[in-house]
Amino acid sequence: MNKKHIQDLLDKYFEGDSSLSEEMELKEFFRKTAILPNEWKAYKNLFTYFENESTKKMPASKQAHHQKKLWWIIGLGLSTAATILLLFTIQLPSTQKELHPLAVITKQHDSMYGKSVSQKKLETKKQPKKEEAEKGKPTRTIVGDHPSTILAYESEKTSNRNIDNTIKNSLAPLDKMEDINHALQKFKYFDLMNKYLPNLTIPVIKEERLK
Amino acid sequence: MEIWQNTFRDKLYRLALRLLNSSDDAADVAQDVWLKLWQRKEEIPKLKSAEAFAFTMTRNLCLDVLKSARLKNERLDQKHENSLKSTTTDPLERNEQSQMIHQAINNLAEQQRTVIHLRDVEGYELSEIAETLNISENNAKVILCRARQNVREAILNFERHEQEAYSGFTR
Repeated sequence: MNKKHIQDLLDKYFEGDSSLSEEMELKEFFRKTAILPNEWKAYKNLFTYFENESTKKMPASKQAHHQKKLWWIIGLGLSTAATILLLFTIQLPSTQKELHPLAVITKQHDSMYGKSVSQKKLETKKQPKKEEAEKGKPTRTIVGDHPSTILAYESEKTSNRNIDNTIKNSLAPLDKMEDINHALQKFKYFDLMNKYLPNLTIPVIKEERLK
Repeated sequence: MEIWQNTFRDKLYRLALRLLNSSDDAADVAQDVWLKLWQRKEEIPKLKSAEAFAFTMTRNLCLDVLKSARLKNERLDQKHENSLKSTTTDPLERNEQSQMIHQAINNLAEQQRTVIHLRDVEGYELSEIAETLNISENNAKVILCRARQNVREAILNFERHEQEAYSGFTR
């Protein structure tokens, strides 16, 4: 192919006069010819660029772009539903009845190592009222974890039931909540227990629900 | 038949990619057009040129996408949008020269870009291109000519700058 012919084709090309077959010829020439005059080197890049572009394929992963989006949404929905369900199954029984045994356990535990929150609360709230009611009795000293203090507290509670009842009743729900929170703190791995030792907890739940 | 389907879908994808400069958006548009064509496949034989029809659909969808993107980002100036660096990571476009050519073509006005793409990349006749853009054949030729000359100018400018930079370096 002589240089003049190619130059003619190039001129026609840039005037927009070339036919498709002439453009094919140009593309072929620039693809096959390695050694070119300097002024044509840029055109080689141009025509190879066009040829490269025409082989571009829609990426396979992108073909399923829509489906991917859809699956992502479905996955998100499922996971949120699962977490909500999980929350309900753990929270519902624990706030109502099921933690009672746990609260009892923590109270026993506290009596060994310290006072439960409710006991502390009762004592602090009770003190001024008690002094008003009966001043003859010696003032009680609150000693942290000695069993005798708890015994003393129990006996006082029975004797002063009339006075105590109103306070106790008003504080009862709060105490319960606090006990539950306390219990939950100690049993923060309860859900794991529930998961890995289902036989331990299921009978308890069933019993409580039947009542 | 299936091969033709795939290659044609790639053609739609390439046109969308040329106009949108984002392979995700381009794939979405191509897929949309493909589905719409599939839904109306009974009508296709009646059309004068099904390919031109599909390209028109693709182009219109792309223009819609660009418009909504511009409204969203308040990119009022199309030049500004076009001058944004393209984010192609295709290995074929690694080298600086073809990057520059890519940039030169994508800096063209939308009509010129569509015409030069359909002609020089996809190899369509001017009559088909004119039908796609709903313009006269003569008009298509004028646009093509301008597009090619703009690209040549950009390339020659780039070369000149390169040479100047080089000579400045050696001096």
